[in-house]
Amino acid sequence: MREFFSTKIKGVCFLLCFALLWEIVSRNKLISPLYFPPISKDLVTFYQLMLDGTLPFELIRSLGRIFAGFFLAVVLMVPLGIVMGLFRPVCNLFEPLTELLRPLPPPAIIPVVMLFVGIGETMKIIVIGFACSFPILINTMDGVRSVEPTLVDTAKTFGRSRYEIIRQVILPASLHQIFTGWRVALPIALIVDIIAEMVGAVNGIGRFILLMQRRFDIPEMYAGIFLVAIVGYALNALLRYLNKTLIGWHKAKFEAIT
Amino acid sequence: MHTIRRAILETRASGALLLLFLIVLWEILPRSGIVYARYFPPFSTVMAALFEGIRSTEILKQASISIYRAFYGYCLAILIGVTLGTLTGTIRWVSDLLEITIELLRPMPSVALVPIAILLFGTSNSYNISIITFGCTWPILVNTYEGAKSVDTQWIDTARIYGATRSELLRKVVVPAALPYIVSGLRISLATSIIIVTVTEMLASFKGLGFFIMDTYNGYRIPQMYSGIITIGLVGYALNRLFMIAEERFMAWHKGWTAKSV
Repeated sequence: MREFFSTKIKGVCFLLCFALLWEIVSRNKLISPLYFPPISKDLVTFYQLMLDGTLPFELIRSLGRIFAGFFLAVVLMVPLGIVMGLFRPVCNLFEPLTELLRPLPPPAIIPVVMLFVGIGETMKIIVIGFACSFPILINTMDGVRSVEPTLVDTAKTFGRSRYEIIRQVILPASLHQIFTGWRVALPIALIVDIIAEMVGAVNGIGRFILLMQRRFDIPEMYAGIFLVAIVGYALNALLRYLNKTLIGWHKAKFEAIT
Repeated sequence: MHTIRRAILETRASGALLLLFLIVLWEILPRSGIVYARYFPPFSTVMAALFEGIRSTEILKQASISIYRAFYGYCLAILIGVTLGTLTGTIRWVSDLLEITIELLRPMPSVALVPIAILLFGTSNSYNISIITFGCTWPILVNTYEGAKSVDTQWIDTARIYGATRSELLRKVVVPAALPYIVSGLRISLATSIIIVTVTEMLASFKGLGFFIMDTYNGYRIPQMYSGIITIGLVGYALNRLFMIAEERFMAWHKGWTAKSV
């Protein structure tokens, strides 16, 4: 415990020094306070906007899109990844297409999607789903492929049907890799959502930040950026926690077998 | 007949056929009016726009501007990421000092900083480059840190016994040993740099491929818009390929080097 505090405390001090520097520089007008209002002012604005419901409202809108797009990608790409990992012909069929689409920066398809479905919710969900698809697909495929053949052979020896092998052996054994894909995809979903909202939206945290900058409500802009940072950090922490609790058993179990 | 079917199913020929089929579909659907051709022009029209863009050097100009920005930001990110990653990975008090700040900043979506960068730099190159640097630094930094942590302590001890100074230790043992990690960070960041340069140009720039896409979208020059998107995809694909070739060429020594010493 003491070890914990002695290491953390230096880091916290560093952050506090940084905040103090920001405050001093801004108050003494070393950098235009118009662009860099003192951090105390930004934090008070953040607090007020959280209380009066402005930021929570924008946040809920954004989170809804993020999870909708993310789940769209999971629902489509996990089954496809499993099938591609199991059957060579299916993999041969789709691999060139995915290799061609993968290097395309997801935001580049925003204008195309806007042409067809406008700037509504559908646009964001499609773009987020597109961006999340590739890490999920590729990790699922790799996970299924890297299942220890001994496991599959053992199940075969014991007379399990193909369906049973997939459900009882391959899926559990590749779970951690599938989850890795989700872990990569979720932060991408947040980034792409903010981009999509900045390009065209009527609400959401990304639009809020850009709008406040255009209106020159700079403390409000910083408040929005703080919120995005917190959301990013929270998503990261959530995934790490899920990884530990849901997938922790996995490593021990399968390392013991192989 | 049987062998043909097998040849198609068991090689990637089926994938190529699927691509060909999709391209034919792309040509037929708009031409027959099943898909609205103004929004989704036939493949040949898009290709014509692409070649026209290349011939008039408009697309090439925009692409070179985007690549320049991405590369500039990428190089800055390598400089910062490798330096900080090595320092935090080897020196205890540096990692104590910076860890919390890094953990707070790293999950932050780089695009959220776009408005700040616009305030500071307007729409100059510095605006794009600063965001690219911010976004590309983290994968390199974290991977370098992991790599530096994973260096075999025997190697470090051996180098110490032979009287290596701290800077020699870093330059001649830690960084080379951590190189595979660093390289995988570099690969992730390369893709990130292309994404961020596109985004920043779409949001606020008057040059570059991202701007070109938004500009043609707003100007309703739809075939040109598609040609811009294809160009970005090609740039991303080509850079990734180049990286892989370079990796194979320059990292081959590492396998032999580590295999012998273990």
